Amino acid sequence: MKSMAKDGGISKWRLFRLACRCLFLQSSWNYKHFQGLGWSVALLPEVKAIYAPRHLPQVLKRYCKYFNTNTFLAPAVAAATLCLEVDQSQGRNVVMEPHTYPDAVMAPVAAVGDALFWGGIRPFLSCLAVALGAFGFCWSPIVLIVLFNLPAAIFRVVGTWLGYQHGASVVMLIQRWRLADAAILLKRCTVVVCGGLCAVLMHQGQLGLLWSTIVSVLVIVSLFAAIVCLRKGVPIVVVLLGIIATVAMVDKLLL
Amino acid sequence: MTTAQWLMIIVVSVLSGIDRTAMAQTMLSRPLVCASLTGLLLGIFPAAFQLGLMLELLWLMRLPVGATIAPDDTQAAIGAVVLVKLFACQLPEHQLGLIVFIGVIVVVMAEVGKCWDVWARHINERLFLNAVRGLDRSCTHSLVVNHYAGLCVFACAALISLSFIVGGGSAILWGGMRYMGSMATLFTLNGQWLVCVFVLVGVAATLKVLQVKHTVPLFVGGYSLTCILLEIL
Repeated sequence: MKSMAKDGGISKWRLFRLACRCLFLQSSWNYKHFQGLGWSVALLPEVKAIYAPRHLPQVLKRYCKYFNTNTFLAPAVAAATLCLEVDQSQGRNVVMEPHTYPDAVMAPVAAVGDALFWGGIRPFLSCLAVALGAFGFCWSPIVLIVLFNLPAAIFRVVGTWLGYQHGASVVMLIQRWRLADAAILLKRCTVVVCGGLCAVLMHQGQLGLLWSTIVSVLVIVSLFAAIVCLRKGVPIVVVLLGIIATVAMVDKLLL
Repeated sequence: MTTAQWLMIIVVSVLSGIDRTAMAQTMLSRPLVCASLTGLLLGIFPAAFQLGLMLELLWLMRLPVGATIAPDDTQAAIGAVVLVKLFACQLPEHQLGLIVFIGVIVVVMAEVGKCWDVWARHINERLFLNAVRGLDRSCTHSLVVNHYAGLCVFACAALISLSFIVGGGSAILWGGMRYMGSMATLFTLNGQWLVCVFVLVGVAATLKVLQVKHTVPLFVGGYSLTCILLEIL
């Protein structure tokens, strides 16, 4: 499955530009075709370089349809698709039609990428940034931005290069990276960081050991009560107002 | 607020609004980041940072995946900072109470704010059809034009959402300002605890979706470990 179309193919600079165009993949996101238009625009300059102008509309129409995948792994899929296009245009055998390749891989790639970036990295870094901020570290927004965009940029740029090098088999390479396991590990770390965040919030310094223990138990109990309420479908606004009202009432009764 | 400050707010609102879905997704749209940036531009960084912390976790796990649309926490955070800037001078003795009250207002309004996001996505369906019609006429340029027009649609949605939050919030605060003094006396305790409530509810919302095995031991472990570390430090 490995591509043989490197000579006379797409240069590294053009691949980098492809990765940059994929930043705008969702600019025209819509309910019917999701990233479809962005996908065809991302591929457009390279497709133009491969096909004669009279064939272009026909080729582009094949890409102008429903498409939806993870935005951080999309450049790898785009580069692999272009690799197949180059191979086909040079008369080599390809494992599948280039325009059917994205249909086949977009869902599994989306599942892996979304689990890692949206389900793993983002919650972990957000909780970490809030914990640092609550501790008094004002640079925490910068930490969030830098630490999130570092892996994102690596996956985008290196993914494009690997996608073009490996062609259709890049999905197997992504599978070998065990990103789903990394996502689960990050989720566990997020829970630990959430615990740390609550401790930072409750650590007022002036409370004695007895009051600290009582407050800790109250916080943990009320937190899990809030989780139960949210699981039962109570809107977050109602839970928020309920806890604020409870805090005010307890405060009035005690003080 | 000066004209230059309003212009800067518009720029931040548009950039963070398109960062949510339409472009790059660099996390500029996270409440902690955009609120801090807005606060820095308006010269009220500490209050803005606090608002960012309060709102950051509330909808963190409403993932921007597929057709899911989360409440517009980006414009809510920016709007909240603008509201603090506009009304803080009228209630200087209850600054923290005002921040909590504005926090509650924008949390409600963020739910409504997502309507504009839905509207933008419906408009983009027309852009897609325009692009395909252009392709039928062998005009590949129409693909590019209609695609990047989608960016403008998302930017407009962000601005409308911000206007709605700032306008609606201002109306509520303008009407409720005379009662704010007496409302603030309801909360005799340190207002810092009320700020913590937002973060705690955010943590609860996050843990609810994470659904990790051994959540309780991991959470209590993290809590205890941090308590010990803080005591040592």
